[in-house]
Amino acid sequence: MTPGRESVLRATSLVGLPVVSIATGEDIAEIRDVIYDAGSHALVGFTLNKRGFLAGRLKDTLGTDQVAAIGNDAVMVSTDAAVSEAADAAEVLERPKDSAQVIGNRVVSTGGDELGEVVGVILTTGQQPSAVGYEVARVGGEGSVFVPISAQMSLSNENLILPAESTEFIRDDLAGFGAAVTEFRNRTIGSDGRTADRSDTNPTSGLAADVDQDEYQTGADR
Amino acid sequence: MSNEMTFETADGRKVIAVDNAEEVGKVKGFIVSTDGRRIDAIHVAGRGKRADVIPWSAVESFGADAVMSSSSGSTHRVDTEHDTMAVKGKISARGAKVLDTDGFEIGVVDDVMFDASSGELTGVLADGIRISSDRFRSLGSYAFVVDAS
Repeated sequence: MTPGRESVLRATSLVGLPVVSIATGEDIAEIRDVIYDAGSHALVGFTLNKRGFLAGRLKDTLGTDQVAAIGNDAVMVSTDAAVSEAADAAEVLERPKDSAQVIGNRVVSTGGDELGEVVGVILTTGQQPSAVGYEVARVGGEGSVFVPISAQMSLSNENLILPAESTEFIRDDLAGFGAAVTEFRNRTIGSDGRTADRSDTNPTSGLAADVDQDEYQTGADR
Repeated sequence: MSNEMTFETADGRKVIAVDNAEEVGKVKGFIVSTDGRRIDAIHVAGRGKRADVIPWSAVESFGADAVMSSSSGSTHRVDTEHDTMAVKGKISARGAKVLDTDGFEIGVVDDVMFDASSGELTGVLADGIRISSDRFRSLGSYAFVVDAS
């Protein structure tokens, strides 16, 4: 994958993208919704609609492991069979309502500050799409900020606790958040692939104190 | 030796049967294989379900002035769903959207180059960019899929 072709976007902006088979050049479906497992903060897959004007819902789903790549113009799969072969993800795919569990949760820092409420999931595209963050509507309705997903995040039915190591990577624009996610991954994942020791992180204070409201909405999603 | 031609220049060329010297039709279009790599057949007459095609295997030579078919009997009605879609223009290399395997649109195919000796496609021209056939993955009704560069 050419550098720069992977982008960071709101999960909802994939809705309506065609799913195209590399083997046949046919558009076999389009993205209806994103299936998200809140418990593991993971992108599980997608529910699908049929293509065309009389588009109805398809029973088949598309597991993330079946995606060859997500680009600006299409979700690519290797063969037409990809949309029904979701064996690994089947358990969660059958319960897509789970995706709603994290939406609406309050985001609270370990220091006890309430940041706001989760309104959406942020993904990276490319050949290994994954969930990398949450969009959080700030307390008092002053726009939103983006917080990175971390293995140390804990989630209950109501609250999402933001670990201290994440706070310096909070951004108020999607473009800036993309760079922050890359840095966050480099920081928390060592060269051996294991999560770095938490003492390596250097939490700083201030939850995106220098916010620039004008930059919000100029997301990198298109 | 390379003997490259393009779909645009080949369009309308007479198709003549060698056995009886009769003109069986004109080049109206090309049916390209699903992998996008070669010409399976040439559409020479008729429309839709009544279209007549000759398989590439019956092409003796694809010349500058005429296409020579081995026999008048090698012309036949379209008989597969894929070929019918192709003669109706629903699967067409020219005019196809070029999509790479990373999910990015490159452009629209303006013209297609092929080797007139073998019937193999050698490349396409999309928005002024030449894309070589070694990147071709498939041609379907939605897109011409090529490897991301």
